[in-house]
Amino acid sequence: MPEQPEKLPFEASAYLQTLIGRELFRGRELAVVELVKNAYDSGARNVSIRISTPTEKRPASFEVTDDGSGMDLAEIKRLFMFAGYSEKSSDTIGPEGRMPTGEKGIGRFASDRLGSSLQVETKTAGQTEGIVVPINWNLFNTRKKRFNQIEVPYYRRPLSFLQKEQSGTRLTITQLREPWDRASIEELRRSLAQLLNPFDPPKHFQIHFEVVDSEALSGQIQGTPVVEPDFDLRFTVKGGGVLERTLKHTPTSAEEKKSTSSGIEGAGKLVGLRGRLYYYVKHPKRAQVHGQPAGVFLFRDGFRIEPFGSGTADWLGIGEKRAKRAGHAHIVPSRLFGFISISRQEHEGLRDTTSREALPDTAESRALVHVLKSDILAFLEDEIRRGVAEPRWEESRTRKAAELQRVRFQALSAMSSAVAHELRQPLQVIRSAAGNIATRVRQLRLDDEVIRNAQQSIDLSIERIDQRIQLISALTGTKLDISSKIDMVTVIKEECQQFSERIQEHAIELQLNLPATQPATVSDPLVRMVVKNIVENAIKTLSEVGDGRRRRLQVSLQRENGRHVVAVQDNGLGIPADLQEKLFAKFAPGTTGGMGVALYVCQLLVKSHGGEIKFKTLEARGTTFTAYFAEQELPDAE
Amino acid sequence: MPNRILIVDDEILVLAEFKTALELEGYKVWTSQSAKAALTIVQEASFDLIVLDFIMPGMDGLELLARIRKHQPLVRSIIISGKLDGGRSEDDLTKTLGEQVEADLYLNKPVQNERLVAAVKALLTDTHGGDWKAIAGQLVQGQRVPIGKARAASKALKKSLKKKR
Repeated sequence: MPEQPEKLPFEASAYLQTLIGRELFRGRELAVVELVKNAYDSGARNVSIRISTPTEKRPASFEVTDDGSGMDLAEIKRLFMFAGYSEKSSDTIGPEGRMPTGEKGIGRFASDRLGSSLQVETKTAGQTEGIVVPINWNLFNTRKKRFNQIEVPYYRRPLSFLQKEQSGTRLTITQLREPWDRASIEELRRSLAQLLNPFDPPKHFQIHFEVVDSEALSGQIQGTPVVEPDFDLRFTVKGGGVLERTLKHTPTSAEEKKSTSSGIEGAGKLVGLRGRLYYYVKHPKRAQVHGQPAGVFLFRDGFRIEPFGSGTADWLGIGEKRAKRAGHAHIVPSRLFGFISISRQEHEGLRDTTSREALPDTAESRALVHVLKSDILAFLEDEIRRGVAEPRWEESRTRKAAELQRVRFQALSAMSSAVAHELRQPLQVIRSAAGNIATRVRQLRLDDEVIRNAQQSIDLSIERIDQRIQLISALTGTKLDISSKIDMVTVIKEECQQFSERIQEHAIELQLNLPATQPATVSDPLVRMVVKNIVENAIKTLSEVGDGRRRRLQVSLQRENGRHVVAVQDNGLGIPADLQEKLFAKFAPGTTGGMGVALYVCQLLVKSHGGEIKFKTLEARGTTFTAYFAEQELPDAE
Repeated sequence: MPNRILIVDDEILVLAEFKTALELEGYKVWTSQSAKAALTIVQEASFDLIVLDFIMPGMDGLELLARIRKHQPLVRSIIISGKLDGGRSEDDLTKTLGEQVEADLYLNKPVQNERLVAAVKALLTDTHGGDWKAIAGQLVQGQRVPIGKARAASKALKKSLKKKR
């Protein structure tokens, strides 16, 4: 027979209270959160927090009052006075089917963190008297006594804040360890606002906040969910660890995109987990996030688990990835909002530490982080890359290419301008020298046809070269792409005016069929270039008419379907059939001199402005060129 | 006595051909390749007409004209340039330069000899119809074109070369 061993009992020193009450929680806010959770677990619909600053008549106090089920003496003995004991099982409680949030049975000791004196006043429904228990936590501040050697008195008395049919509990904490100043009250409000899942808050539960003598700091505590994200990703882990995702990417698509993935390691342990991520492509506006801090928060049964989602806790490694591989990390932490919802009932392995500040390192908690990082965030990041980053890269590439094109054009323009100037000097020399030869020949009374013809050829060639230079100048030196408000009539008259000498020289009858005025938003230099070119062509062909007919040139302007139509009609020789097809081609060969390149360029430019140039011609009868100019938008004022 | 003409252009070949062209027509012609040298010449000799290039290193034609006018207020002037076309007609530029610096005429390079000679002739025979009041008026006004105004005018014209409407 084995020997029956003697047993050794564990005992706790009274100082245990200091460890679990005063020293466990990092901040006072977490202690308050514990008290609020206790109120929730007692079935309360309302919990009120009241902070009173000290006056001559009363000390500073911190009150937490709830309308939960309250306690009778038996319950006080069984629940309240028993450290580490909690009846809160996985069974739901109350009419709303609440999942209890406390499970550690130490929440009440948290009041020690706030002040050394606690008065509990509690009553169940139907009782006229409640029970009052005053506790001085300082009594526990000894290592010499045992935990259960500390005794506190209790009294039965009517509770002024509860009617007979009402139930509830009020905790009044005095002898506060630190005063509540404005900054710490605001911090507490923030913590409480983040305590309840703003995206999916627990039902029928409200936190009221009152700071005596401060309306600004008083009021109901509530978190407001963020709105209008660019990416809205909802997800749920279904049976068998199958992950279901629903993505909405506005504004590119109002359609929801559903997808699933399975076989993710550890996902089987997270069945029932759900969450929602909100991502803003640009830093969100205040009105969109209502002062919510960015981050992916973890909520269990509607209550937040610290510190997941807080600015300092990069629990999903988003900030770290961005720091290491900025070009490949498309999620900017400050634009990501959202929550993960877990349940105490379904995710037994996802308990938080007693200090409520982390998840213990378990297979489930590792699976949670793994699933979120390797699937959910990777999926979102991929969507952001395809929906935002890549189009932006493309846009940036296009912008750079356009910029390069612009700079190239600028360089070409500067060069052409210099070349034009440089060319004109030798041209001037040749022209003057030819002129001097002619003068001298005349003075010497030499009448030689060969010399005369040579001089004429030189002059014509110089004229042609000069025309090309003018075209290059016009092309490179003017801002053809910028539109302005002009009067088409004025522009046409001015351009025709430039040819007055030649019109007179060739005895051309010019007829202008123009309205009094025709305002237009177009590129002024472009209209001028085109009008100049087609009028010049007409004059040229008319000058070649040698059959004695009266040379007529008619320029008209109309509006047609919102476009400005300039028609230039001559009764010249017409365009030969073999030339007509190639008229707008690059380097069109022909007998028309300046036409080739100029018409090609004009057509290109007019088309790029949404218009076109057309012509009708009858051999030996004449030609009509018609230019259509589309209305342009005014450039934005800089 | 032949009319006396000064041509200022930084292109030596252009100078030479213009000189020949005008000499063949019987004018007495001086040339200068720079504005600075031209200013020295006008202090020693008087001229009936000056032909100036607009763009020259150092001092451009407009400022030079304004400076010459300080010494010779009645001198007639022709500004020539191979750079100032940019869609503006010779008439238009003649008007602008007349208003700005009292220049008489603007011509585009490359200009034909006939045109240059005709212009010179026209300007030299135009003596305001013998209206001495007009001549005296111009005398006073010519001296008044401030250098700063000439500089501003050339600056504006050069800028318009870059922008062109």
